[in-house]
Amino acid sequence: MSELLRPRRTRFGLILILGLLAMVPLSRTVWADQQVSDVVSSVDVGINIEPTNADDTNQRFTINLLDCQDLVPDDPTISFTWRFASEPPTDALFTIKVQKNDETCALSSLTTETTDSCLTLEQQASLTTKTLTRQLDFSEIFSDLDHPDDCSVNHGSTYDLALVFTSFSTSTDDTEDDTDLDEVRFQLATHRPSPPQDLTVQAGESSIEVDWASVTEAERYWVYYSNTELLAGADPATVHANYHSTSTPGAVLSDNLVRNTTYWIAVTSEDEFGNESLLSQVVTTTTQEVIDFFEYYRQQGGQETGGYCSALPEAGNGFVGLLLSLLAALALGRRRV
Amino acid sequence: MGTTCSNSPEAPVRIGPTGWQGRSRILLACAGTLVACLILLSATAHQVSAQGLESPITSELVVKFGEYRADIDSEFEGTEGPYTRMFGPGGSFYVEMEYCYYLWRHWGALSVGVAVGFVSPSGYGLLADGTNSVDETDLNVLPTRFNLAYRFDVLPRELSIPLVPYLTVGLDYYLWWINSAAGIATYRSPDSEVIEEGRGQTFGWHVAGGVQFLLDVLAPRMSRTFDANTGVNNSYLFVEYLYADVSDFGSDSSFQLGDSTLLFGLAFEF
Repeated sequence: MSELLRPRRTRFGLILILGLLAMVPLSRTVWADQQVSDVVSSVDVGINIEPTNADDTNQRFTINLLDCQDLVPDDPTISFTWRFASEPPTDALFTIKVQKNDETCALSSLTTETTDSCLTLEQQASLTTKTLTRQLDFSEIFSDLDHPDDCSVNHGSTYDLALVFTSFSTSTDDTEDDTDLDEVRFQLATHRPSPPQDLTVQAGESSIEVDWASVTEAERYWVYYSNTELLAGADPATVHANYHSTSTPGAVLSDNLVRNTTYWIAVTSEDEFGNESLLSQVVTTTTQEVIDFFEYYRQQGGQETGGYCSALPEAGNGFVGLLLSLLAALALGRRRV
Repeated sequence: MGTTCSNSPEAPVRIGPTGWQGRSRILLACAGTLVACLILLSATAHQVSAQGLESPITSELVVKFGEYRADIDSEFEGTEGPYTRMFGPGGSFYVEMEYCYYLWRHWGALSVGVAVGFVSPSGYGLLADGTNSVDETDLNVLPTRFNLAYRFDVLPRELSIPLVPYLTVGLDYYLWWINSAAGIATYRSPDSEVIEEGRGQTFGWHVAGGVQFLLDVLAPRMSRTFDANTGVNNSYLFVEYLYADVSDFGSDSSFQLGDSTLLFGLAFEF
């Protein structure tokens, strides 16, 4: 019996060993793809906007209208840090270019070029360490944004900050090229969504129910309400009012409302990039007295007047005594056990 | 007693959550099911009662559910009292937990117990023109009952019939409070200018009767394991008819918070 089994064991062991050996080069290849062919292992961009993708080496940033309108006049310095997977050779060079709207920039060349849509910010500098840090002004990258109003005009524009550098990768695909490249893309999403329409309101004593038609591009709605006048079409950034947010059409306002007070109410929509529409049509309503159940009961002639002073008839004292007796019986029963 | 409710607005009524419908059909269905099970499972019940050791039984824990509708409108003449106008014609979901302690257990079982429940009918307030507002109003009732109960548990023990009829009487103490959108409801009496608060207490009494179905017959082995692990000897499914008169023993100046209703639930003896 054991003689018959031996060849099978041997064959199984051989397959196992071959399988393990096959896995070794496979895992090395995966590592090489991730670490060597891109060369740049990570890029840090010092801007207070979260990247819209999770890829460290090809980061994408979407700048909405509000952020753009803040950044243009402030012209902040943006810090870029590229980290390479290995030490560069002594003769390695790099060039930093900005390419707008996918226009043709020679991104495989270290040489200078400057057109309306392709700027060279730094040319053929020596790449001496594994970590390269550069401080660039916002206006250097977004050279055509001179005024906050330019933000909405340039909705959809892309700005690629490209680091072109002498290739020093050891992987086969990179050795064919003289240069390698890393890009960080900024895209302007600066279009306001449409404001909601068909606004209706119904006021109670201390709450107001608001409803409106859904907006296709909206991911969130903001309801503004104030006891001073609101203007339709106003920029919500300039509005001083209470607000309430919701992800679906319809809301019940209940905070900071005073009875018998007139309120102006408007709604805005917000898209996936955080762009908020202008104020919708403005409707007014006045909070009014509401009769609750107790008031209605009393108005209809109900005799219960509330309170904790017992309304028990003469039997009251006896009843309390009976209650206490029951509780005592319960307690005694438990003690006996 | 109260005055006539004659000026009910004719505007569309928007009511709060309503309860179950068709009590009698549910009762009939349950009764039919129980009778069928009784015949089929009597043999199993005999096996269960004939099993060996079990832990001592001293108490019972009960969870009840049902539809409850305080009879406040009985204070008013006419078809639609304030309760119906605000909360609709149906009842509201009621839940109650009860603990019973066996005083005597021989030919049946005599127990005392205490139960605490909760029910909260909800609706919308009224505007001056009689239409419904967006502001909610609700009546919260927290009944506490002190029970004396007799359970005829001889049937499963001696006759292998997995049914336990029981009868309960007791005294009730209800705490209640009414909410408007602004908090506890208030009413300013036009005569005295006194502001009344919509919260208080009401005493009463109740009587209830029901039948428990011994679930152990469905899974005898599981019930023994349950007893060994947790000390729960028997589990029951039950239906109960409750009549409660909660109006400070007939006081004209108190809410009538009582109701007559069917309750269902689970009971555990331990």
